[in-house]
Amino acid sequence: MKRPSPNPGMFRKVPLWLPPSLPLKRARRLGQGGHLPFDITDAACRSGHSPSPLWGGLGRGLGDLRQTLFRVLWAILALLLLPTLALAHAQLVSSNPSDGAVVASAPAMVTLTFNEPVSPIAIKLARPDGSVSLIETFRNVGSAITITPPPALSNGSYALSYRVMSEDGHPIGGTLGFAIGAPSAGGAALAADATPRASRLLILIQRVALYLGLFLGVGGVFALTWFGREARDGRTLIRVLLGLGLVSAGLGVGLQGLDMLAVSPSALASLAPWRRGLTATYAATLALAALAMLLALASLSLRGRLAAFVSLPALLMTGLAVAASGHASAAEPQWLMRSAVFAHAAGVAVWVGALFPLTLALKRGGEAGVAMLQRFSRGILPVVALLLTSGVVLAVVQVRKVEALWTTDYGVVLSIKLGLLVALFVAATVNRAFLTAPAVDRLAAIDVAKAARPLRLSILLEILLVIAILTTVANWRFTPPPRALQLAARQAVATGLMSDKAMVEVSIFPATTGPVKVTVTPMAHGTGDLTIKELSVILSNPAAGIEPIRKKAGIDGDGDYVVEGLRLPVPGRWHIRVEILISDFEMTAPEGDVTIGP
Amino acid sequence: MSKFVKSTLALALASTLAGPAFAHVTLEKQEAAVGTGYKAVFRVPHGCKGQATSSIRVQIPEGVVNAKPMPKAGWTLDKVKGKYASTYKPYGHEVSEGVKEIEWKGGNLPDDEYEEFTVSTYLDASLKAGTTLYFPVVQSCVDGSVTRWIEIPVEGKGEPESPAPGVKLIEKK
Repeated sequence: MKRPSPNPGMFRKVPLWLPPSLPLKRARRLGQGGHLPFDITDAACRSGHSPSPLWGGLGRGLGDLRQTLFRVLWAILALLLLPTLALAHAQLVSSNPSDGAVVASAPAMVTLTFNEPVSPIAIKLARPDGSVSLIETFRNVGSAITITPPPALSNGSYALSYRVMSEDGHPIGGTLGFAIGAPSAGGAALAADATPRASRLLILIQRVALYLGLFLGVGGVFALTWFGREARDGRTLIRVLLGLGLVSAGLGVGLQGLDMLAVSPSALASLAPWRRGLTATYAATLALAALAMLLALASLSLRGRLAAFVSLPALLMTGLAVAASGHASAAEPQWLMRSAVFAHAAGVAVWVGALFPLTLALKRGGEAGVAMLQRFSRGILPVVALLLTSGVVLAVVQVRKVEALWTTDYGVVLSIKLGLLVALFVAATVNRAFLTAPAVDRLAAIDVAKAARPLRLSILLEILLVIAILTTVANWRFTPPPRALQLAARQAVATGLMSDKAMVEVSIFPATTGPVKVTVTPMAHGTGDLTIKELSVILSNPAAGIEPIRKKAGIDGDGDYVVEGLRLPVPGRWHIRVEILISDFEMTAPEGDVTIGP
Repeated sequence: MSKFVKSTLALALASTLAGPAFAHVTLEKQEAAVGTGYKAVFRVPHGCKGQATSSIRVQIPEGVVNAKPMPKAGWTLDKVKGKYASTYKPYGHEVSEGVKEIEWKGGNLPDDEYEEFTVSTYLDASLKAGTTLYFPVVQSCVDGSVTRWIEIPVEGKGEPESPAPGVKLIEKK
């Protein structure tokens, strides 16, 4: 950005009694060097007498425009209310055979059941000898995948790795271990298909770039045309940001494909990830984002009322783009969540988009800067209120339990974001309470650029915080929200455990932290009957440092052993041990692991 | 959360205070030859979670014959006799039945006192040297609580919480 530094003396000579529009116009022409003179055709644009800062830019002929805008708004609303199939980040709810099960003979069928409809991407089987093969014989009906394993599987341990696409557009993967006959040593180790680090990093960078393009770029154009009216400061930077955003929107398709296929960035040279990426719901986000940024670019080359007219749909498109995919948009109730995401994204764009143009306008000084600052100050409060409201709605639905803020990755990201947000609000409040008024006063007293210096620094700090926040929230791409984890866990987690004398089916409901009900159905294993004098359930979580929690089970009407009111304090992998007292002197204790959601 | 932290701390503290080996019911002599007499001395270092011990019940495993408990002042002896699973020939003559379960009861052994319970036995030559023979013990306390020392350790799984006292069998010299 090169621009001749403003000449303070120039402004000092402007008589105070002149209407603001006149010196404004002159100052720009003189200060902007190579830029074309700005031709103001609409008096309403200059006068600043419009009733509201938001509608002010539209000037006369407002009736038509308003009507069109309302139509657009209605269309957006209708889109938001469309019923969709999307529910959540998919989670494996159960499988047959269950994870860790030992089955007598090779299963004719392996079934994976998820909490929402999924589409399989890749399924692999690792055999006891360590060889891994891709399985293509599977059927996918709704939320279940039925896999026909290869024939003639020998005895030993197997690992089945699956990678599926969930409705919110994020691929998930996992591994299921089971054994035929008896577990074998070694072999059959198969890590869940994970997206390579390099691909994940690229996806993260792409997200941040897209956010910069949308929020600082489109938002910047919106601020220029609505708060700044005919201000042109920062247009070059905004163009760069919009270009960056457009590149990122294009690359996003391929990167999404990388994640779905769990391959490294080198695969971008082939068509596969691009084709795959186009099938994801995220492609809709990218398309809308690209449209928003193109509109913003168009708005930049337009003038006055028309520019403002074009920048509004760009802003609305930004909200739509963000609401079109992602965890939050996939949550129920859809009408609320999608509207909240839309409002949040549009609000963010209005707020943070204004920061760059504002700081540049203040640097240059003059009534233009003051007017912009005043319009921004007036208009921003309802926007921030909307931001906060939608943010609270989103956080409550997504996180559900306060503990999830530190016990889940998603929650940690949110906590960091909230921390940065507090800093941002402090900066904004300081701006508003201590810096804005003096800057306006002193600018009015023609003390220009120097007066606004603390304010400018504070806004710069805000911009840095905003970039930090955008980088933080980009991490949500990789963290399923506690809501989705809970949704999966609201269904019971069931597992089969075995010892030398007993076999038990254990189910924990709900599979979340807090009080749970454990139901145990014991069966004899091996020769002879199983007499049960007493049955206890012991749950521990060594990784989290939780010592065994032991409870004696009672018998319910169905003859199952039940433990109620057992409290699980943390999510994660829990060790479960069922102690069956056969006689005073003999017991058997099948044990295994279960996964508990937040 | 603070409740959870407290209980975790309490658990951690409790597990440090009660060192495993120290608190277990164990056999004094941890190694014995098959085909010889064996004086099984059960060491009881603690009650049940601070309560005084009122009863010790020992199951005599198959292959351990001629079990004779040593009476103890202040305790009543109970012997459950029955048929062995097979017939054994200690000292040359056949036995097919004998004491299979012993209980010292009605006593009062405070948590901060130590006691030993003794049984004279014969380890039949048919027992396999190189294995460990376990004597499951049920310890009852005055408040009715029970600690069962009956878990048989499984190789590679670490020591169980309440292992049964065991004796390693070796060849007769």
